[in-house]
Amino acid sequence: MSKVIKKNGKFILEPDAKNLARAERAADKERLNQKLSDEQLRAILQRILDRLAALEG
Amino acid sequence: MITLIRSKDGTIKTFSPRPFEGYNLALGESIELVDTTFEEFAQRFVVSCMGVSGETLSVKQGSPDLIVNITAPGQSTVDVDINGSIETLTPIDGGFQVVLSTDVPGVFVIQPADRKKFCAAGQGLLVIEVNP
Repeated sequence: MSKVIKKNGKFILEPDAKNLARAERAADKERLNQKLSDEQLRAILQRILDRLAALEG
Repeated sequence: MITLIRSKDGTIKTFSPRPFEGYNLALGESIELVDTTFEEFAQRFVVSCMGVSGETLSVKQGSPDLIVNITAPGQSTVDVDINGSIETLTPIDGGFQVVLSTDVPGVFVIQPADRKKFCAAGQGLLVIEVNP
C-alpha cells in the first residue's frame, strides 16, 4: 500500500516505482521508435525492471 | 442484541446481528454481546465518497479532488487512518471530511484509526483506486 502525504489540506499518494513505470508505458513504446541515448535506454530498462519486480513480488 | 467478534489484539473483527453462540473462534478471538441493533452499530462509523460506501470506488488519475465523508454520530472528533497515516478530524456541517488528490495513481484505504472502538468492515472501510 502506498504511503500518503498531506499537502495543502489534501492527501496525495506517494508515487512508487511500479506506478511511475506503469504511467510511462505508452510513452516508452513511443520512445522505441526514436534514436535513444544510453541514458534514455537505461531509464526504460529501469522501468521494465521495476514492473517485473512488482510482478514477481 | 448483537455480537462483536474481537481479534486477539482487541480490535473488532466483525459483528453479527444476533447472539451467535456457534461461532468458531480463531485462537485469541473473543465474543462480546452488545445491547444495540445491527443497523445502529453499522452506522457508528461510515465512510463514503461520491455516494459510494461499502464497495471499492475506481476513479481516473487526474479526476477532480475526492471529498470523502465520514459520519460518526455523537463524536466531537474522529481519528481516521488513511493508508496508515492517522488524521484527527473535526466536524464540518455535522460530519467529517477528508480531501484526496487523484494526481498520483494507486490505492487509498480509509478506515477508523481506533479499531477497538469502530469496526473497519462494511461501510466502515472504503477503498479508492486511482487508475492511470
